[in-house]
Amino acid sequence: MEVFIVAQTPKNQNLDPDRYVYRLMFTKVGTAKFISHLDLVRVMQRSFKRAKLPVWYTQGFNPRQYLMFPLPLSLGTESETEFMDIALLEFLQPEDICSRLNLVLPEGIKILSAGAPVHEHTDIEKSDYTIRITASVPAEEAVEKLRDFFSADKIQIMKRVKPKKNRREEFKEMDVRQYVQLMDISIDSDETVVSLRLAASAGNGFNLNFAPLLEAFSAKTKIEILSFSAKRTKILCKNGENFS
Amino acid sequence: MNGDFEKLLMKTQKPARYIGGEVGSIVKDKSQTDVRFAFCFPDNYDVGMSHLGMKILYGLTNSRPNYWCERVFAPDKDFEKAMRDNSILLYGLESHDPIKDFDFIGFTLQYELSYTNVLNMLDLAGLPVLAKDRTELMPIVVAGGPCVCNPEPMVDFIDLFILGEGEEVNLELLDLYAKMKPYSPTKEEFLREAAKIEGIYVPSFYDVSYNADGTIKEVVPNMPEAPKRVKKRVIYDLDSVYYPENFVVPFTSIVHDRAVVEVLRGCIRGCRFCQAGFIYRPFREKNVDTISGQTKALCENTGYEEVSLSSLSTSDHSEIDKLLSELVDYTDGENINLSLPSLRIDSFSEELLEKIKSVRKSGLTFAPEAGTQRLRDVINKNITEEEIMSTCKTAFEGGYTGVKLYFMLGLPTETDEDIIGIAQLARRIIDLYYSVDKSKRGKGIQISISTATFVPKPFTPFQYEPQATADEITRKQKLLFENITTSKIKYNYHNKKVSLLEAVLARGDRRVSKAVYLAWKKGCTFDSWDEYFNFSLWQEAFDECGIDTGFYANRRRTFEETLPWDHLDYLVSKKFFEREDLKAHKAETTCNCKEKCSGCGVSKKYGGVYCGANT
Repeated sequence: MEVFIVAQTPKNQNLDPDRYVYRLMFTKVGTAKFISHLDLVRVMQRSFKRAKLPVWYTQGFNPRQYLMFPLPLSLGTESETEFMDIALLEFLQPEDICSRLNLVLPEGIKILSAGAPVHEHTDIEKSDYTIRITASVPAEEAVEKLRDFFSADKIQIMKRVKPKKNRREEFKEMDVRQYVQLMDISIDSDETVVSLRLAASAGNGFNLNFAPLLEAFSAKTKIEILSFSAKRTKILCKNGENFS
Repeated sequence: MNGDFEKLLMKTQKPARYIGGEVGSIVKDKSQTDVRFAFCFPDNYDVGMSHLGMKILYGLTNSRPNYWCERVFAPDKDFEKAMRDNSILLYGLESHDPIKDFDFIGFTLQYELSYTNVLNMLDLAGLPVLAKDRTELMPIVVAGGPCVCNPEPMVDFIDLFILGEGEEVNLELLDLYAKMKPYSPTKEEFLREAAKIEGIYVPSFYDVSYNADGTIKEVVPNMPEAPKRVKKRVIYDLDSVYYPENFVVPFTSIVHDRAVVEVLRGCIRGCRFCQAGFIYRPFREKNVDTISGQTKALCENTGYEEVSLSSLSTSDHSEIDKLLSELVDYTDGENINLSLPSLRIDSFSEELLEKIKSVRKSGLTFAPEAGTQRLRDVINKNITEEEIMSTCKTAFEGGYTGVKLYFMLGLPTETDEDIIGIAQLARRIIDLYYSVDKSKRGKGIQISISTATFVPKPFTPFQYEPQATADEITRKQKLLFENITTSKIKYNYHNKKVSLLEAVLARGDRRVSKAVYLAWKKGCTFDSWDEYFNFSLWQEAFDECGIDTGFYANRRRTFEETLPWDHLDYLVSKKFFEREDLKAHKAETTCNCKEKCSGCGVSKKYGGVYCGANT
C-alpha cells in the first residue's frame, strides 16, 4: 500500500497573515521556450523552494504556493517580458528576490525585476511579438505574400483540438482575423530572414499559436517556411501602457 | 541547437524531454574529460527519469571530474520518426553529442519487455546492434540491472554485463578503461582485462554446448581471464556508499516526479515467486541519521515538494518508528509530502499514528497474490486473511469504500478451488463492509480484482516451474469471471501473450538472442506498452529461428538441468532454491530472515543485518 503523509497546514502561515505580493518580470528564451506553461509553474515553485523564499501557501486541503500568471505563453515561443505574481510572508528587497532566484533558475529563465503590481490582470489587451522567418522563396517575395496574407479579410487556420482520451487528435478551422495584426515587416541585414512585428489580442481566453498560423500561410501560398522563431516583446494594457 | 532541430521539436509531443538543460543536469568541458559514459534507459523519458538507479550512477560517475556521464532515453515514436527522417543520431541530453562517439554506452535492463528498445537505441545511435560487428574499442556497450541475472537473451548485443550493485564496480571499470585507453588497446584486450574485475561478465568469453533434448550441456570459459562463475557485486555498508545529494529535476512531469531516498536493500520475506526478494540479498539498511541527512540534502537541492522512501519493504526497517517520526518533523515543517510506498500501516505504534495525523492513503491496496491460505503458503506470501480483514475493517470505518486486490494466476500447484477462492475472498470483504455500522461506512463498496499471469523467474525457487499455457490461463480467467456474481466486484486481467513473452525472455538462453534481433527487425519496440505490443511479430520471429516458446515457458526443469544462468553467482545457493521449491509443493512456509536464518547461502561477510542469526 502506498501511504502519503501530507504536509499539514503550513507552519509558516496563519489564517490572515501579512503578506507581500510581488510582480516578477522574467525572460523565457533559448531552450526554455520548450517548457510548457504547466511545467513552468512547477519549475517556479521548485525554484522558490531552492531559493528558500518565505512563500505564502494557499489555505485549503492541499496548501500550495501562491503563484499567478497573468498571460500564459505558448510552447515554443520565447519572451522578453513574462510576468508572475507571488506572495511572501516577509518583506524582501526586490533585488534580493531577483538575485536569489536567478541563482537557482534553469538557463533561459531570468528574473529582470520585482515590484508591487501596478495593473490588474484583466487590464491586459494585447501583446506584441517578433517573428523571424526564412522561407523557400526570396525574402522580397515572402514579404509581399505575407503582407497580402495578413491584410486579407479572413485568416483561416487549423486549430488543434485537444484529443479526448483514446481519440485521434482533431483540427478545426478558425478565422483569426480579429486576433492578429501585422504592425511591421522588414528584411534583416543578411537579406534572407524576414522579421515581422505582430500584435495579437490577449487576455480574452484566446492564445494565438504561431505554428498553425504559418502553416496556413504555407498552405495558401505554397511558400514553405524553412524555419521560424517567435518572441513576445510586449504586453500591453487597454490604456496603451506596458503591463507591469 | 540549430534551427532544423528546433523545428522538429516544435512538432513533437512534450519537447522538453529532448532538450536537456534541466536543473541538476551536469555539463562538463569535454576536452577536460577522459571517459564519456552514455547512461541509457531503454524506455521513454517519463519512465526512465523516474529510475533511482540511474540517478545514483549518474551522480557517482560525474562526481569524478575526469568522467562525464550523460542521460539517454528512447525517443517516443513521433520523435524517433523525426530523428530517422532527418538523420539525427541518438545523442546525450547534456552535450547533444552523438553517443556513438562516447567511450561507453550503458543500458539498465529493468524488465524483459524493454529489450527491443536496447537494439533500437543502438540503431538510432548509428551503431551496429550486434556486438560482433562493433570491432573498434569505442564504444563499449555494457548493461546492468536486475534482468542481467539472466542476460543470455541479450548476449548478441552487449559487450559486457555488470552483475549486482554498481557503485563500486562501475568506477573500477571506468578506471581500468582510463588507464588502458592511452595505449589504444583492441576491444578484446580491454574485455580480457575487464573480465578480471569481480562482477564483470563478458559473454563472448564463454562457450555454450547443448544436449540432444535442447537443454544446456555446459557453459565453459574460453579465455583464461574469464572466471568459471561470475559473482555479483554487493555494497557491504550502505551508510558510507555514495548517494546523490542532488537529482536532475525534469521540466515535464514524469511517472515519479519526486525526491527519493533509499532506506534499505534486500528483503527478508522470501516470497517464492519474487526475484527481487532473492537477487538483492542480503538485507542491509541505512541508519536513521544517514536517511534523514540525505532526505534534507535532496529536498533542499531539488526543491521537490514530495519525497518518497524507497525499498522493497520499508516497514522492515528495524527503526521504522524513529525514522518516520524524525522525517515527519522535517517534511511537515517544510511543506513537503512524504510518500511511503509498500508500507504496512498496521505496524505503526499509537504514538507515531498520533503524530502523523494527516495521512492520505492512495487507496487500499493488497497483494495477497493467491486466493486461498494453502496457495499463499505455497508461495510463502505471509499475509493472512485476518490481516487483510482487520485493515479493511479499520479502513471501512474510516469511510473508505474502494479496495484493490492483486493476484497471480497459474501459480505452482494451483487448483480451481484456489481461483474460486479469489472471488470468495472479495465476497467476504463485501460482507465485512456491510457489517460495519451504516453511520460510519462510506457509500457504495467497490472491489477491484486484478490478475497477472505468473512468470517464473531465474534465481527464485520457482525457476524450475512451468508457466501455465495461454489456453489454461484463458480457462482460469473465465472460471474466475464466472464466479464473480456481483457488479460490486470489477475484474481486470493482463494480456497473457505479454506474460508468455516475459517468460521466454526471463529464462531464455543464448539461442533466444536471435529471436530478439528478428523481432526488433520486424518492428517490435516499446513491448511493455499495450498500444505497441505485437505478439504476432514475436511469434513470426520465434518461428523463423525455430524456437518453441513452450520449451522455455511451459516446461518443468529438473534440479539436475544446467540452467542458462548457472555460471552466474547471485550468492543465494541452488540447493536453497531446490529446498524451497520442494517445501512449496508441500505448502510449507519458511520464516523470514528476522525470525530465523533460513540458510539461503549468502555469507555473513556481505553485511546482511540478519545473516547467520538465530541458526
